[in-house]
Amino acid sequence: MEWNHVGPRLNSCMWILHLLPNALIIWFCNILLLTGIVATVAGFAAHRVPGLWPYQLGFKLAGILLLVLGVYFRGGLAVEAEWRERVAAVEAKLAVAEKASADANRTIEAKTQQRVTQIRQRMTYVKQYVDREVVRYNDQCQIPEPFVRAHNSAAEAPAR
Amino acid sequence: MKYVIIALLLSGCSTVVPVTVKFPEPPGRGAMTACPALQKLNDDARLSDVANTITVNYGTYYECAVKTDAWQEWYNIQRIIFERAGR
Repeated sequence: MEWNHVGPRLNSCMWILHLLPNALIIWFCNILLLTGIVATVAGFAAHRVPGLWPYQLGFKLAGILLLVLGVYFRGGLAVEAEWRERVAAVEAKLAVAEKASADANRTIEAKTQQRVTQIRQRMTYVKQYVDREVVRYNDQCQIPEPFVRAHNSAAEAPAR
Repeated sequence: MKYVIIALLLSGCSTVVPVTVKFPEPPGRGAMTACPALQKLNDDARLSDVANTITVNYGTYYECAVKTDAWQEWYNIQRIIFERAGR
């Protein structure tokens, strides 16, 4: 599965089904199918009912048309349901991944904070030592100017 | 006109899944701050000033190294999570 495509595309011609609630779609498909079946049967049986036979062609055509549409939409509905399931599965996986990511971040942050605290403590300790011990040698040791220049040059940040 | 209608009809044949992948958050606010510049010595610096400045600069370096380590660990973990989610 490729995650670098935000919003992969589905090959489904049933895009309109996204806009409707499930129950309404199912009802619509079932009514379409049933009406199609009833109209088709009526079309083929119309010649037996007196007075209906002039309409048998109309019943047949309408029935077959509705039947085809009903089957088409039922198929589309099945595909749509399958895609919705897949989307739900992907969303569940993403939720797990997001939680794992947040947990990992908390762990890293805590570890980082602990190490920074250690570094600062040690720095404070060393500075106290310098102020207590090294300061005694200030008068004995003259810092030459080239030393200062060399140090400052090394400490200079590189151009960005 | 005919092609416009065909294009409009075909646009219905593909829909976008409403799933967006959120980019993982950074490992804490501290990781997003830039490393500070190193301290320099004054021209009239004494031995204790030199020692203090060097101590601060080492501390700055190690704090920055901790940030880099955090980002490396973050990347390795996030990659594992990302690959596991994609399976």
